Amino acid sequence: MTTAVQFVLDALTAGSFYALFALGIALIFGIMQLVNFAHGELIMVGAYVVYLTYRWPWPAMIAATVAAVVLLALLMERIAFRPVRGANPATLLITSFAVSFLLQNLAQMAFTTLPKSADALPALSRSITAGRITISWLSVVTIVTTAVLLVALALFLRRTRLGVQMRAAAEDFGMAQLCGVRGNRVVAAAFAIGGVLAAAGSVLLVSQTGGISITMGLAPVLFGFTAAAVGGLGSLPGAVAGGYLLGFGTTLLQYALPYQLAGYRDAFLFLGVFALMSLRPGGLLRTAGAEVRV
Amino acid sequence: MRTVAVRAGLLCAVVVAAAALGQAGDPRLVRATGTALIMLVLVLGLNIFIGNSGVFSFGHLAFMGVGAYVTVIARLSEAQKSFQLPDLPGGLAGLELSGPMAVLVSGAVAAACAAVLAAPVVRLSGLTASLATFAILIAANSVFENWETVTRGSAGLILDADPPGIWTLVLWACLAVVVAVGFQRTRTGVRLTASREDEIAARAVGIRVWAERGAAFVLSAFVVGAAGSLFAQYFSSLNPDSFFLTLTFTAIAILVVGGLTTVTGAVAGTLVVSVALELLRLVERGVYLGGWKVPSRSGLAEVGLALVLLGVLVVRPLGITGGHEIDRLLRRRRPRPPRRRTPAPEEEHGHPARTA
Repeated sequence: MTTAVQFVLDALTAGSFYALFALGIALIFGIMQLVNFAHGELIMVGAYVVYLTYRWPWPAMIAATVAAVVLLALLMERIAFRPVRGANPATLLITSFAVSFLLQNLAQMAFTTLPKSADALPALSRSITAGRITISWLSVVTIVTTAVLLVALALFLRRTRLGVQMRAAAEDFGMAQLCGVRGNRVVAAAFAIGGVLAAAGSVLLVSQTGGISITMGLAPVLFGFTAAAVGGLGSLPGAVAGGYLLGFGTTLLQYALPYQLAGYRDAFLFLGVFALMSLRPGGLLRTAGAEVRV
Repeated sequence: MRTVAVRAGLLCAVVVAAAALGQAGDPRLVRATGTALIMLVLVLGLNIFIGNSGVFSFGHLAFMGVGAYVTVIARLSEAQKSFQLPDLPGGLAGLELSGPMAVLVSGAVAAACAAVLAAPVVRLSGLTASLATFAILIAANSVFENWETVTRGSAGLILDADPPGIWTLVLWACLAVVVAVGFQRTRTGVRLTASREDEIAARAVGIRVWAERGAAFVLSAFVVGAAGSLFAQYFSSLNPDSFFLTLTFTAIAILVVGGLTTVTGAVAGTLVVSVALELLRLVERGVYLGGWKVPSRSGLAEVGLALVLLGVLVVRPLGITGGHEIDRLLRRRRPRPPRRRTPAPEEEHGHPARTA
């Protein structure tokens, strides 16, 4: 029983992280068919902002991180992605690779390859023990923050003018533009929201691991992308569901894999992704065919 | 046939000339030349699949890794094997192949791995293919990291055999050029090009797109595996990170900068990017520019490469060769034949329906 509760908590925490990363990727993909590999670099840069500001009072630190990451996301869209908008998805993917590589190496020039450490939000490292179950405050905060952001995003997309326009653009970008939706503004807004999600991810990630390095964006983007792909790329509920599913999957592998095979967790996981992509290119949860109709 | 001979001959001449120039320089430049030649083999391997089929694969570096590890295992002396890889499965411990033999065997093993994966990969196109092959890369990296009895994990392996000279590499690179140019003009190559331009139309005229893609996938994995073998022999050391994101990025950047669809693009891209990277590395170590000291910063070369790639993507999406092969590019220099004043015969008569 206690193992089961502990398992669910671990899975929910992992799932919250993945859902947060996946949402940022799915949101942009839905609108402009771009798999934004550079989303991980937003998280990385956010983490360095946390490193620079973790001695400030925590609201100031969070505000600085969000502001910096959103600004970077907007810059990224304006400089790199706007000129290639509408190119085929493979070209867009390569562009995002280039942006990611660029940011990583700029960060290397600024901060060197040596990992840094920051004790962000130290209050969260305490934990509550109830019987034989240990819950760290960080898990609680991660789960709650993610839930709040999810609800806020859902409300934004359903209730606000810009949100509705964003959904229309995701449905059919050209048609939405013909109906008076301003393409540039919607895409920029999507990148800004992606930036907020990434900033939340970086604060939580640094609080959890305490370490900051220039390559730290890779794992979030890989898992986020995997979750988004599982849920059907571009579908936001799919991305969230995929995130939690992936959280349960990885936690299950962690609990169940024998010691000798534990290192291969990612190999199993990504072979699974490969199989999924080959068998159901549209993702697990999406039923509408993604095939080209002739 | 004549086109193949002319095109391959011209490209090989470029490769030999560039290598001769690089080889005459200081040891750093010689090393950079060797690196560029291995990159060329890798990029040509990628070109065989990506350039002809139009399907982006980010997973090919996995095959390069396979080739490299096979080579180290095949070339390592028995004494070193018992030290670095004491638990190697039986039979492999006594194996000692010559350099060229190891290249071919590595290519074959990589091709065999590709053949296993080909069936699912060839069905995919567009983004799904990119993502699925990317998953292969990560899974392979995880295996290289963890299969310690064969790869020694993240500690990496050190090969104790003599590295091949520049001219050996030139020979392999020219061989790869011939294979890539020749493949383009085979039936499979031409059909694959048709499917790249329009997959549905290609199917409609009876091209079995999956079969053609599968053949190209296996062949390209062979060449990429051979590049891995050359990498292992030339640098004499490797670890799982050698065949991961940085090299994938560099290879894809070269392919895009040069021009995705042509062999000339692969050669030109390798040349341009290698020279640019070498210049940036010079700056990276700190130089004086007109009395102003540019401080040394590691990462500068990569920043430059990323900027070049972004620039090409935005300004010249077809790459610096603009999608033309070298023989066409040279021919375009000649003055064009003067335009005919009189319209062509079929235009003269016009459409009967319209004149009526």
